[in-house]
Amino acid sequence: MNQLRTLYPETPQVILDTGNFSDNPTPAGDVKTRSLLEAMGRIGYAAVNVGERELLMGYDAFMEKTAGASVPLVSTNVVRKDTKEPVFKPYVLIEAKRGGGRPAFQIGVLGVVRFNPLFLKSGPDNSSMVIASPKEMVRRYLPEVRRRANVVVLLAAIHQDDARLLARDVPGIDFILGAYGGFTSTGDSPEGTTTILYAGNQGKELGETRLFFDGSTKARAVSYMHHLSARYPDDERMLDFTNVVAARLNAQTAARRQAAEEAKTSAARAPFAGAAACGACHAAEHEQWRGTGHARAFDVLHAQKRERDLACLTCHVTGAGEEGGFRDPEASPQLVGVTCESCHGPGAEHAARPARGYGKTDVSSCIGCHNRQNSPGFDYYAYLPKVVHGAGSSR
Amino acid sequence: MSGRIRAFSRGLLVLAAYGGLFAWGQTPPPVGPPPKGAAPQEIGESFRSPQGALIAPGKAPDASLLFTGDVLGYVDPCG
Repeated sequence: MNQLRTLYPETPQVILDTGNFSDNPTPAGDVKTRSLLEAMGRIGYAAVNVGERELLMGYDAFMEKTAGASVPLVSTNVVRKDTKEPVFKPYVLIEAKRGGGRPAFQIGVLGVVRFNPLFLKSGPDNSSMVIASPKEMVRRYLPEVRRRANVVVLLAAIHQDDARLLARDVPGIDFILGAYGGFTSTGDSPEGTTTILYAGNQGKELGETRLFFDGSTKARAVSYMHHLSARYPDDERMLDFTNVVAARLNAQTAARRQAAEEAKTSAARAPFAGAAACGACHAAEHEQWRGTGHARAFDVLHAQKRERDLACLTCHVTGAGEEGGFRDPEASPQLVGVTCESCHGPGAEHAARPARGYGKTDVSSCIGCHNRQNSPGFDYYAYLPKVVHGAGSSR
Repeated sequence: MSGRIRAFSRGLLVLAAYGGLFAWGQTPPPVGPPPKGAAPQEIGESFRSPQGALIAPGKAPDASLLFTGDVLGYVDPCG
């Protein structure tokens, strides 16, 4: 965003989120959800769609998290059960002010969440909330938005196939910007006059659509999808902010872990042996593993101050979240990194009574972490030589 | 990402007060992907930024829509 702002200082940026930004309703999840709302406010999001995840604990719990965060929320089809009226603003109008004395124009933004007939949550003023048909609700508000706006955007927390059907059934939407199930657009995906773009998940993708009103008579759109890898430099202020959040989370997790540790039974029951125990018999394999990226997988979390974040730990240590698995770097240093037992399974029993039959592994061990979001370039056959143990490995 | 707070809310309040007066009062221009014959060196082509470039160069747009979604509680990438 900074680079675009530098490159195009007179181009207004309209920053949007398609919804389902909230974490799980846990103490750590609440910290993250509040932090994301605060961050979106700081960044200047112009509209944020309300997804099902935002409403897991009902309207009041969500609104309490939004307190102090200036984020405009939209949704056409989260409605009160009694009145069938939207709980949030069904749409917002955003004035895009152009430089050079050119007239401003209006962008109308609606929001929609996937139809879920089982959804029933507590709503405002002791009401109940349900999810109405996206098609019906968009059809209800689109003519009004179309009249008032030059560009109409629908933020969609729905499957891309449903987005296509919606565009077909309700013509007149210029853009459906969505996210669902990790799907990421790799090209313009038109349906009639509607362009459909999807932005992956986990905040790893940023969609960019440039609008050109040449002579104010005909507008064109050019889109890009930015995979926000380390190539994109951090904004210093946001980096400071995320570090504060990470520190808060780490302290919270450490306190919780300590309490859990006190209640835990003895480590003797732990199913994990640790890499050193494996190396006692499988020295060559252990030495070869020490040179792999798997052995260093925890380093990046340490560098990012995320060494106690369970969402990250799962793929960077061994047995995170499992009984007897990784607790923290101090309590379980033998399980730091993606060790032998990440691929071969818990090995304490095998270490105590070595026998054939333990440790067979295959691609299923890899794809839990090397998925499209975390490891988009993953190719099993290209990656395998980086970790496979050489000829002469003991079996 | 930038931490600069922008005053969209003020604009929205004004819009709420004045309603449709701010609409252009003309048929909105159509939008969509660029036609095949468009000068690519001017406005570029969707999903085709020059090799290695973080930001595609080209003519300044009239507005940029930037969007995220399904963030699922990820405040920051794991690394």
